[in-house]
Amino acid sequence: MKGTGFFKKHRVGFLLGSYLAFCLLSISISTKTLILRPKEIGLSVFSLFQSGVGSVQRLFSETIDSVRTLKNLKQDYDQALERLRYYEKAEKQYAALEEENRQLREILQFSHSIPYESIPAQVIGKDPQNYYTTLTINKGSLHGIQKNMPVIAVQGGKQGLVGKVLHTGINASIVQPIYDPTSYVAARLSLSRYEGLVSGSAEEKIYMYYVKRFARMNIQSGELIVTSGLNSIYPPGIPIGVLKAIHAREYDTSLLLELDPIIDFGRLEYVYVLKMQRGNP
Amino acid sequence: MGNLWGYLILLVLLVVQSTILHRIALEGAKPDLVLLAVVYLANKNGKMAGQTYGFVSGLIEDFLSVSPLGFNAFLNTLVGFLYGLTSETFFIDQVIIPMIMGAVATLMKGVGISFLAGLFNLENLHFNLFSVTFLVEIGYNMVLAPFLFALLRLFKGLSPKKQWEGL
Repeated sequence: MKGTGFFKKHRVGFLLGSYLAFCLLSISISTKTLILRPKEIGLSVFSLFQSGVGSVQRLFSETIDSVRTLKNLKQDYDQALERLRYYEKAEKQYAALEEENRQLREILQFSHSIPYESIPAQVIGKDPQNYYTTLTINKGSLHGIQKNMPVIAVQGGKQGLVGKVLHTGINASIVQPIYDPTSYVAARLSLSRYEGLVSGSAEEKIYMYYVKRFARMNIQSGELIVTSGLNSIYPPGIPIGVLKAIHAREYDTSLLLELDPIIDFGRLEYVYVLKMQRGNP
Repeated sequence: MGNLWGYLILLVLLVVQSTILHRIALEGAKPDLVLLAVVYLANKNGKMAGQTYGFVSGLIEDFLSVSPLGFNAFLNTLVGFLYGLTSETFFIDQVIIPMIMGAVATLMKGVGISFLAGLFNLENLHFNLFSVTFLVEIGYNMVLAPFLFALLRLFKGLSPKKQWEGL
């Protein structure tokens, strides 16, 4: 009876202790990267709400877009006619260029050997807190997504690297974007072929680190930076960004390159998860 | 330990925070509406309900985040408990006190994150107590706290007074 009275008297303390002990134990287990079934299940369940709100949000924005589109339709029609004439001319040139390109590829033995099978997915949310920069997508292990699969997107006709899958739930996954400070991508400059490591920063800028100092004379702004394929996660040749600025600090043995990412993460809606056969550890 | 409406409001705010609020992010910082709601609910309902609101909301945040399970639950539980201690100890006006409560809660969260970051190897976390991002978050929470508190005051069922007093 005494014990029960003591428990009742200190009920708040016991409950607080239990909560905090659970949290610390859970963090401890999580950070030792044990299998996180409860987290995966929770992600799957609660991402449904994100998906729902995302749908309503899209419904509104699509309705507004439709009205705007109708308004501009007439103007677009006139422009389209003009363009059609232009494209008729361009088509002939394009066919000739395509043939030339095909022949050049054969000559250079350009290889499409990487088995890219992709899973399209929609971005349904971002991390609720400011201290993680992850994205949530609406496809999970049920759709064949696995941890560390590379994620790309296409914007304005250009393909670019988004990041990699960090966690998978049954019907949702968490993606780490390349602007995350803890993301590292082995990369190279597409023309000068110098290698480095692309990573994010706290200000959400993207930098390429460890580029040889003597590369300074051979590189210039505007050069494309692509994945090098030297780590096991990302296939080679995926565009990451364009060289924006070169920082050559006197005391440093390497250059620091600032990138403009190909993908505008502020308006990222759809992504493709690459089912890499060779990349998964 | 709190009521269903309180948990529903926390869930709605959490979903809004993770889907829409990034559109108004400044310097990578968006407001933490869930934290502010926990502060309000804890202050209205006492420490028992406050810590449970914090624990449950934090746990759901962890499910939706790449943070280790228990990270946000720990932070929100502590904030909920501490603000529960302040229940009915001072008068809350319309503007100034909510602003102070929002700022102090954000600072508490910042100190808590630093504590956990020192204690565990938290992958993917990039937090600095003295960064612009954190300062903007404090500012955001200060500005939004009076509005959110005013909104929550409209839900009369959120403050079952005296229910947890003495516990």
